[in-house]
Amino acid sequence: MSGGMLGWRLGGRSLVHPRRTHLGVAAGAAIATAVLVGALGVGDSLRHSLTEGALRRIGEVRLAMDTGERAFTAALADALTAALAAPGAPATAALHLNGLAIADGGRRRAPDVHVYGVEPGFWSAGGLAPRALGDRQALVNRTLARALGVREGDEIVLRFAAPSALPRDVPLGSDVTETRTVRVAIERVIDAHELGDFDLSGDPEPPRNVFVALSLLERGSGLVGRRNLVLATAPIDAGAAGAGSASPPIVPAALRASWRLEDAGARLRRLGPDGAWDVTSERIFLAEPLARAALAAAPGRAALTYLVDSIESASGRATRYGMVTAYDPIAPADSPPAPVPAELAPDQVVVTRWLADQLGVDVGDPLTLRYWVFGLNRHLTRASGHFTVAGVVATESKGGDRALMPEIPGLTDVESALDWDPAPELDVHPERLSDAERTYWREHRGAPQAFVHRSWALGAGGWRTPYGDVTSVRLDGRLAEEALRERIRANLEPAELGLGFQPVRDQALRSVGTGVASYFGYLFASLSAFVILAALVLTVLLFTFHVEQVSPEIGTLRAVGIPARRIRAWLLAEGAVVAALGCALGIPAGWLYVWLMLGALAGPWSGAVAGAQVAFHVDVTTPLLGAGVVFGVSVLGMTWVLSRRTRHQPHALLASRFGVPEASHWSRRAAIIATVASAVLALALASWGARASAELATELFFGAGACMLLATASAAAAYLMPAAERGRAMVTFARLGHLGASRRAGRSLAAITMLASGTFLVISVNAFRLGGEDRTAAGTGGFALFARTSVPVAPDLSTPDGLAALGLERLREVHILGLRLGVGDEASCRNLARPRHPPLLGVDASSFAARNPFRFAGLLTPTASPWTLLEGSDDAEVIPAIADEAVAKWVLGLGLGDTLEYLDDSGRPFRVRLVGMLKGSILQGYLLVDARAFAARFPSLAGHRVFLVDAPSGREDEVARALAESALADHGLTITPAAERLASFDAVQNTYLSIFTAVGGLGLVLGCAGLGVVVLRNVVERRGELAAMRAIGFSRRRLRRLLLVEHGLLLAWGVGAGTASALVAIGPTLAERGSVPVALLVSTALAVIVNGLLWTLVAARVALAGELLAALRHE
Amino acid sequence: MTTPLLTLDRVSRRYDGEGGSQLVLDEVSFTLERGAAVAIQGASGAGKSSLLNLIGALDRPTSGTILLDGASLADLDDDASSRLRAEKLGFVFQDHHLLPQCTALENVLVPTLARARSASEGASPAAVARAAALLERVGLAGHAHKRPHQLSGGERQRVAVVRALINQPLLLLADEPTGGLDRAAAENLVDLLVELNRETVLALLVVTHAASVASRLDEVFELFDGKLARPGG
Ligand SMILES: Nc1ncnc2c1ncn2[C@@H]1O[C@H](COP(=O)(O)OP(=O)(O)OP(=O)(O)O)[C@@H](O)[C@H]1O
Ligand SMILES: [Mg+2]
Repeated sequence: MSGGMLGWRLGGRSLVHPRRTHLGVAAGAAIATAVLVGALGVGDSLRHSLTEGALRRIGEVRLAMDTGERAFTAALADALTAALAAPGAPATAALHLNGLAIADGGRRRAPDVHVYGVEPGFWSAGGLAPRALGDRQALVNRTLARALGVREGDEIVLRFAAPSALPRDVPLGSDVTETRTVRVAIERVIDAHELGDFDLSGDPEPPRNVFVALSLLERGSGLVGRRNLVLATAPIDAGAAGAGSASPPIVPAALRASWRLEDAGARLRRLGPDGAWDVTSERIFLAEPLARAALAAAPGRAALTYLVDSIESASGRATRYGMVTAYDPIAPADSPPAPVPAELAPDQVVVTRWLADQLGVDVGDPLTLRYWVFGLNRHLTRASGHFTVAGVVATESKGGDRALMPEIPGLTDVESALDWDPAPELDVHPERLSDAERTYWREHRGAPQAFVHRSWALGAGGWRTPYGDVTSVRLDGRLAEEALRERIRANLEPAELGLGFQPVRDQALRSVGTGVASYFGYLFASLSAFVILAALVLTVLLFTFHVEQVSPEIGTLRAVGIPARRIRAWLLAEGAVVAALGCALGIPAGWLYVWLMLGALAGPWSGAVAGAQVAFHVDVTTPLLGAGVVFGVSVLGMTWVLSRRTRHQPHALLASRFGVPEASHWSRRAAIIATVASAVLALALASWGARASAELATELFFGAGACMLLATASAAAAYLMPAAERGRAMVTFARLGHLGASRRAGRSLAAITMLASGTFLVISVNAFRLGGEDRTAAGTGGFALFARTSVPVAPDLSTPDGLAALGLERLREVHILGLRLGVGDEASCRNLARPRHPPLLGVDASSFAARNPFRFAGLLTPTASPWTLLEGSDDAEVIPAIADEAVAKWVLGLGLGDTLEYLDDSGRPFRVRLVGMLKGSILQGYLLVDARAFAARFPSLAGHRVFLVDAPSGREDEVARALAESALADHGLTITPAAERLASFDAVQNTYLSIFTAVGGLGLVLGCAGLGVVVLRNVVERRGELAAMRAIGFSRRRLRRLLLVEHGLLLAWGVGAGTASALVAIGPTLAERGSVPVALLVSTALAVIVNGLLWTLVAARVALAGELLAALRHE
Repeated sequence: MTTPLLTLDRVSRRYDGEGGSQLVLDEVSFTLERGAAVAIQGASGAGKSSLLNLIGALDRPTSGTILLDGASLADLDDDASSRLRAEKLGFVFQDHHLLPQCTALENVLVPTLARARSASEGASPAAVARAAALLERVGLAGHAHKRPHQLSGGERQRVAVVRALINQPLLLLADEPTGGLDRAAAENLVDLLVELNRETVLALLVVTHAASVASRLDEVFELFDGKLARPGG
């Protein structure tokens, strides 16, 4: 038998055998493991459920091209689906429109409905069998069916905005968005696993979907032969996959090869048999890349044709509603001719014969153009230009033809000028036209009547619009059509025109993988950190007790010559085995905890996961990780304890029943120094915080609070190491208690720290609970209602004209601010996946600045008028933005000055820089930019979709009703009281706080249990001593009181330190509120004190209950 | 004629354990007059400590009655017996049971707190002076501010004796008070006890193995086979 074995037999066994403390050590480790595994397991479950959900929504789709309002040709769709399909991996094209669904004869409406026109192959993209839909048949998903209260067989009407060729902002066409309807019968209600929740947006809420036959939607929307969605399921090679939200779209070879100009909304035609080539756009203005590509393809010139209100001579003669074309007089050789001389000056005009005759002007005469300048939101301002006539050319000469006038529905498509139906803002009155003007229209249609210099038009003239500044490009007519098309195409990237694929599956996975869901487990674990810590402290504490218990034995073993090293190894091995058992037991408990928490997340805490359905799923590695961490920390703690407890000399260990002295002068002094240092640091941080920005102040004050906690804990340590009261016999009852508490200073300190940090956390975190009237006023910005439409609203509801256009004249005193809404996935706290790109919200910076609503949490450059920051963009590539603080920080991970990349309508990247952060507001979920900057980048997203309504108080309901009954209903209006919307956001944060409080409360209970253990241990250990005191005349009652005083001191220190530090930490919040949350403070402190006293009493009773003599004899 | 300080009337103490029951004291009857000084001797395990525990109301007899200063111990509740111990008895344990967190002086003063009315009420100056004087008497003047773990076994023993005397009890119950002491120290301690016995009302009931100690006291009893008898009697 080896020496080690013999030693073990004789010595080890005397130390290592089952004791009651082992139960405690194991229990502590088990609790810590259970809570940690549980928290991480909740995260696993959430991530798993969200991933599953995200994948269910996109089916098998890997690549998607979604061009929104800009449909492309079916020919391109066919080419793409043929090229991208692989055996077993189909591809399909569809039409996708947004609108609203109406049931029950208009009584029930569901806004924000996605209408998909699909071919049978669409379902294959979901891994399902192809399914042909009959002409009037529709499949609706469960969400929509529930929203509408409809069943199979019911009829519904789908209403959507007809994709508009015109930018809605340009008041040339009719002002009320044209909507179209289709009537369908519900064939079936389909579930998520049947692709019912198909959605590419990544929005956390399940979409409302309706699927109809593609042919039906083509006819119903007027988009015959058009598609705006291509889905492919074949795996893409990773190299092509862009990373992140704003990565350039993927352009497969097939797309590059088969797209045509028509897919970009461009048209190419020859003007007359041998005339020039004319490139125009369906949307009046040529997108900048298109114009550039066309001009680079062949010699040519750009034209901008503008509708002017009147053209006047000096004598006061005038013609009305004529077209004027701006040309660049200098053009490359071989460009098509234009009716302007090369030497035309910016203040000169060339007029047609007809106009010269009408006005009686000739070369050298002055001429005035009066016209409207297009602003945002169909705002028009009058402007004029003064010219000298530089020449007179024939009417409809070469380069002055009628084809220059862009196609404008309501103008170009009518036979007689009397039938003009332009927007009312233009103030056009066809009935006032003179006979000559009517004749001109009949004979020459919109042929321009005058020509000006392009540099004047784009400069002083103000003819440039956010949508472009070219209405037509005229190119050398000698080129063959195919060659010209090829050249233009060669100069264009499909992505520049919004054509390109996104790796939607990768994005969905990445967005779940990087969003809140990805770290929810850790978040939950950190919310539970206190319980875990408390349990670990308990484990180590109980292990310490065990070591203390056996220290006389250790002394004996050391005395008989067994090295301390070996004794430590025995004890550590024992502790490790016990901890490992505890950890192992903790794992199934952790599963149970996950299960319980998921129950809570489905019920009272559903706010934390935005109501997501979370199914139980724990990764294999999670229990190993959780148990491993707890085991590791426990063993580390035990090693530390052993190194401290076994280093004393054997005689000290043998005498340990007299209380091993723990306080040396040095450690007492160290504690005092630590106290002073942390207090000074706390003071410094607090005074810095008092002067720092609001954003920084919160963190500084929290830091100050933590330092305070450190200071009070060190002060407690110093207090617990009392200096001997030399020369004075200060023995009193209180001092006896103090001495008792300091008897095992380390243990007492552990209890104090546990209680203090628990109190600190519970109080300080709860102070951030949101709510209250003041908070509501700031968070709603003073607006009463928040409204959204699924179809953009063109009229500006902040003007009487805009209200009138929607029949809302009676809401004149109501202030309605319309905002432009970009595409993107919601970036509010409700989104657990990381939003790929939160929707931009275009706000009118100047009217916001005038009102100055909402409160700011931080600004990049401090100013009294923060909203004006949105206007100042020094860099054309970077536009300033404002976002909600919580969203920026937690959901997007952005700080002030950080930028986020977006792609504009033309697929060009631009960046958005965060210049301001709002305190929790109803605009959570959006990135706010100036409407002008928005319009310039997203001409296709014109019109307003979000409205902030400032209704007079008391009339909110009436206003809401008026809005709901107006023409806005056809735009898919949803109205939410602003306070309600705010509360729903606050619910997320408040739920986190509730979880924290509950789990923190659990930790406090555990902390109090720890105190109980300390008390019990203290009194049990001192039973002999207490019995001796009884023998010298102390009654039981008196001794109980002594123990209460002793442990009440610990409680008081703990609660006092925690509360005081918490008050420092929440200083700014308190200052803002102007009141101290007395109820919270008192209830927390009381809960801890009552709980702690209860434990103390129980322990004291247990210790003093037994027979006196037994206790005396029990040493 | 005043009542005797202590009267034991047919007091028995039986311990019931796993290995059967053991009758340690068998109908012991005994009277101690006020101011008397008595030594009790007996083999180890004879029941000497058991007897002192019964007299000090730390334990209850299986049968028989004990009257201390005219009152029956059996009738006292916890408060009353605590008061009795605080006011009339001084205890020196075989295991001295000092409070480890208190200094020698503080330990001595602890019994004065047993009847303190408030948490901040300390020992009276008179008590402090007395404590200091007593500590000096037992040769511990220089050790008053040491804590028990800093004292030798004999020093601890002496502190325990002083603690038992601080409240000026009527009866000192001492279990081997000179156990760990050398001859000189033991003599010194016994001198103190005998002197106090003579000068004050203090009666002594001292358990001791040492003949030199026993011989200094008025009477010696021997505990044998559960009975208390005079040696040789
Ligand atoms: N609580 C108890 N339970 C069982 N037996 C006990 C108990 N207390 C004492 N005894 C037994 O009673 C007997 C007398 O014990 P006691 O302590 O009174 O002896 P003692 O005379 O003081 O011995 P010593 O001189 O060694 O101190 C011993 O045999 C002891 O084992
Ligand atoms: Mg004994």
